[in-house]
Amino acid sequence: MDVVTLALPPSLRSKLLATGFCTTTALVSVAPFQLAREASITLEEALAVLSLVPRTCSDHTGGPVAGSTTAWDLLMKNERGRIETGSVEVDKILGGGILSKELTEICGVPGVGKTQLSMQLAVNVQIPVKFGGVGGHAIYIDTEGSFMMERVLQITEAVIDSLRIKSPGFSAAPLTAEDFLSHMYLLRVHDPLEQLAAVNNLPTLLDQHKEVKLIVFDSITFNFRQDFENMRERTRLLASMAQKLMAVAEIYDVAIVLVNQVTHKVTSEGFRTVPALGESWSHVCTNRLMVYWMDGQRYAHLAKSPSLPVGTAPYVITEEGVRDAHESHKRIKLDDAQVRSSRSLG
Amino acid sequence: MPRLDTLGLPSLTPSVLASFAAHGILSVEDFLVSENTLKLDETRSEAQRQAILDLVDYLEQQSWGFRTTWRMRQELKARGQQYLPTGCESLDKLLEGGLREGTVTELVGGSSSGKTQVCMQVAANVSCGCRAMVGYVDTCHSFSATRLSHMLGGLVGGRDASQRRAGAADEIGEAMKSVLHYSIFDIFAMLSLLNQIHINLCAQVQVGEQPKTLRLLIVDCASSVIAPILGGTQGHALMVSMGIILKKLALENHLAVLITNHTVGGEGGQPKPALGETWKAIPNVRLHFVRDWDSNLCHVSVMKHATMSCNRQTAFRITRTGLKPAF
Repeated sequence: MDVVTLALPPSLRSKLLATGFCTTTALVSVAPFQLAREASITLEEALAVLSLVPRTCSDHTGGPVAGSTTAWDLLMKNERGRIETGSVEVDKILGGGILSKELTEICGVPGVGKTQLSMQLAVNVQIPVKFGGVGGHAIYIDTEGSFMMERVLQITEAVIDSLRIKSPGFSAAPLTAEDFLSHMYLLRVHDPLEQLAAVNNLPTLLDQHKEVKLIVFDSITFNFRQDFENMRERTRLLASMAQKLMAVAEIYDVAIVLVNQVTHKVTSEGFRTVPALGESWSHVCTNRLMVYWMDGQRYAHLAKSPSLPVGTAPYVITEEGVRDAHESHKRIKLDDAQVRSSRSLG
Repeated sequence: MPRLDTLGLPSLTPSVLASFAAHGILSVEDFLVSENTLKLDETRSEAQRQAILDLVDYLEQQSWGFRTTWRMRQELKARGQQYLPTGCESLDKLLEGGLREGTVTELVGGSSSGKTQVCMQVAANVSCGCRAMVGYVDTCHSFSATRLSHMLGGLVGGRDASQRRAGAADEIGEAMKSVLHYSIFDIFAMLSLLNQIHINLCAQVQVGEQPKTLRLLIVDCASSVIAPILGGTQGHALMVSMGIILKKLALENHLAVLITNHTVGGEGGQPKPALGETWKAIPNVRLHFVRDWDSNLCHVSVMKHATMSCNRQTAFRITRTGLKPAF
């Protein structure tokens, strides 16, 4: 194993290489003070280097490496809380709701309800455990400026009302909109740099607010869609951001919702709508929920999930928030013929 | 390559080492690339000449030496089973038996084309059918223990818990205990884990009745730890290091290594495997996955294979209890 593969600062690495410590086997038998003297680094640095060197384990069983969890243990502690979307039908295709430790992407055309869905989730995550919720706080990272306080208040009040009706024990523990709103931490970011900083800062934020169970990015795309001069650079930035988000989700046991936009991909048969940010980004999210219009009806479609089958469910957005689709709620929209003719004109 | 002073050769006295160091020769590597080390002329002292001869001897001992192909064949025969069945009939047929031990197999495909499902199916089949341990390195949170238990349920028979024969639940539990899951999110953690597995497996001593051995290592997905560093200052070197250690694990520890890779837009918008030309040399077998959403079939084609012809195809269907051949 090369010394290059150790997570070391470049200056330290070049010092090691210059003094002949090119491989980790050379480092295994060397004492810290000796390494410090020969490579002319401090003792602390030498200790840090040596702590990274993989060693032969003492018991010689050659078994698994520390840090693993068996699939059995994972199955047994699978009792993770799910955050409901407000629509029973949509929850059903998601296997009960949004799951913690996972990255869930919501993508769709403008106006189909991505922001509504995210705001609903940010409210629903706060439903206390005794009412069947997760009872956590939410961080809402707004990049587009689409977060509406009034709307969140509306959704919150509707949630509190429905809890009052559903739960007989409600009067014992009255909830107020203030409780909900004061546990939703809002962060407004304006450019790619701020967004990267926000992602880097998440661990600090989560250390301070341990109750956080949901992080919403609305949207992850916006700042990265404007003409980036170097597209390779963009891909790399996005990939490293995704990696950090995955680590945060795992370590802090939070659910992460990423809102993504869609774009048109031109193919030989015309064009089709695909999620933005390209093919390599598609691999980032654990689950992908596509939301779209069809015949004047909003639909959510689970397009990617490692554990659930593909599924589709209709939903509506009412004054109260995201709800199940009923005939009465069906919104009148332009028919398909009209849409098509306007498209051909355009 | 180790440093000269760690070799423990008696002729490498401090004064000889100092004279080597004066020429910038500190490690075995320096010794090998140095231009005039092997010259044993009058400019060198007796001690130095002796040291050089000893070093050459030492290096000869270290090298593997020649093996005949016949000998290799005998060794492979003695080792027994070489193929780990994937648990998906159509894939086993395509690969003529399954994943071969000692090779790296790569699954390439777009998002949700069925790669992770194959990984979990193979993990289920090897842990249950072959009674071996499986290492599952997960870099994108896509491993689902629940899904694995459904697949194991499909393998031990029965559509649901009530129909299963007695003891099946124990069998599933036993199999799940031998699937080791690692969550890794960056390249350095990945390299250190792979190296540690290599070191541990090399140190393994065969004593008495052996518990289950590790025979399969899955990295899903290998490309997502590499993608963020490519194009950076040492990204390429790290990618190559990862490829080397994966190959080492396959060859020296005789594991079947299964990795996944995503696709990027290539020429004319056609998807092509990510990570470029250098990485192409790492896998021995490369399978390409395309999912047809209308028929819900996953089509697999052989892009690269060490011993078989390419471009052969098959298809499978993803069901609740596992991957079933398409009829």
